Amino acid sequence: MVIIIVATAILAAFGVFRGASWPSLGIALVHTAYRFIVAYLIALALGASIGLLVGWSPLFDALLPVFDVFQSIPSFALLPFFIYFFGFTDTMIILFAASSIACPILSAILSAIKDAPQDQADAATVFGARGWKRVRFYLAPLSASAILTGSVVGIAIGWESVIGAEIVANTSGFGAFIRTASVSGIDASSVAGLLAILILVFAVNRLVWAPLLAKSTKHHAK
Amino acid sequence: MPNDMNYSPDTALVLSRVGVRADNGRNRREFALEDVSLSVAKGEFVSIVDPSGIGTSTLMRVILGLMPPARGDIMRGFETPAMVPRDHALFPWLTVLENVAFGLQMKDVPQETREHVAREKLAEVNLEHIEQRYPAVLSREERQRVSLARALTLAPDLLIMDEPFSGLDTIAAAALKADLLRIWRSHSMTILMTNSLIPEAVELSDRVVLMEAHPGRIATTLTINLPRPRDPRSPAFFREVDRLTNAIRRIS
Repeated sequence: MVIIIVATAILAAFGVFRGASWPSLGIALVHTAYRFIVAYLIALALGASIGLLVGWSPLFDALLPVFDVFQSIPSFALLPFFIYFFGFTDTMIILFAASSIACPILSAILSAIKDAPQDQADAATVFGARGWKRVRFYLAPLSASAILTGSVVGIAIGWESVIGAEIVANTSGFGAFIRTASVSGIDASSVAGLLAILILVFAVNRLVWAPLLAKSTKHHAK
Repeated sequence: MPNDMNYSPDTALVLSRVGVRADNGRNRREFALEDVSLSVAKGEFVSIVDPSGIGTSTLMRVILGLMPPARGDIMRGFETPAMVPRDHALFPWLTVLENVAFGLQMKDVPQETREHVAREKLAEVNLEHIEQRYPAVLSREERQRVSLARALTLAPDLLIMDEPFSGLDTIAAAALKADLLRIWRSHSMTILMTNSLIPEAVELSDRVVLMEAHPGRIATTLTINLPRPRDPRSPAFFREVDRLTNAIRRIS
């Protein structure tokens, strides 16, 4: 991240960004960030709920292969499906991105539950973690670390999905900004946009996910 | 060994011709336990010695109702079972105090009460000074003791312990044995323990059940004819250890 910020500062000092359309870039980034945040929140709620419910279900072992197959479907293969139902709208971009972020979160939760030691699952049962209490006091904290790692993977895919869908929809946001830039050629605005998105992604990873992962690893260490 | 359900109010557990199928590791289910019949009286301390180490954990799971037997009958005369699993199975996201209070939390006991009970149980296993630590930073002995304290908070009438001395050094094992005997006497509970260490089985148990493998079944049950408290350096103690060792040799 430091390298990117230094590179940006050097480029700014040499006047590379002179003439960049800062207001357009700012609005595009706000649009993309908004869609991404909403998509992540939907994906988190969806992935975590389905993962914990499947993990709690007595059919867990039978359902696991189904989700393995589902996870291997490339997320962009589902884009026409979302366009068909929602058109070139905000909802399409958000739900499409949510579907691609939810998959790694769901997969990480299911793996965590599957790989939990049998002794630990037995202890939870013997000490009374049954029904919804099993979800709340055993499966959810057991999966907390997996939700974080799944989120880190999902978010990387999520940026790609939001921007990819924006390019296809060509309505607003950073994807549309890139599309316009690719038509008009590399200019100060497109370089500034590229660096801005890199700084945003690195900053979120460094300031949000890295501390959460470190804390989770500390408590979940065997 | 009973072959029928000879159950009385003083009986904590009766297994009658129990068979259990389990995955053999090659995606095939076969009998891990076959024709297991055993009766345990309330307040008794019984060790199950399984030199192959194959079927005992499965047997414990069946007794606790965590997996169904493929055949046979089980009569449970206990009301509140608790377990100390082989790898202690503490929840790594909870502190020691929260781990010990877990069973009471599941019973919706108010936080203040459950923490008070948990602190009492931690004191009983001499670990009151580590209540805010997480399991990751504990020694193996401390984890085993925390797991024991967690079981005690339920005031169990049957305590199942799976290889509690596994991986402990001699001094830690001796200290845990002494505490376990004290707790067993003061709580008047039934203890069913799997164990692969013969001296420990002789020192602690009223009876020792010897298992044989492929499939797991009870080979013989020996009553330990030593008065308590037992002196592990007495000639009589060594004679009991020899008797058990010879019985295991005959089986294997």
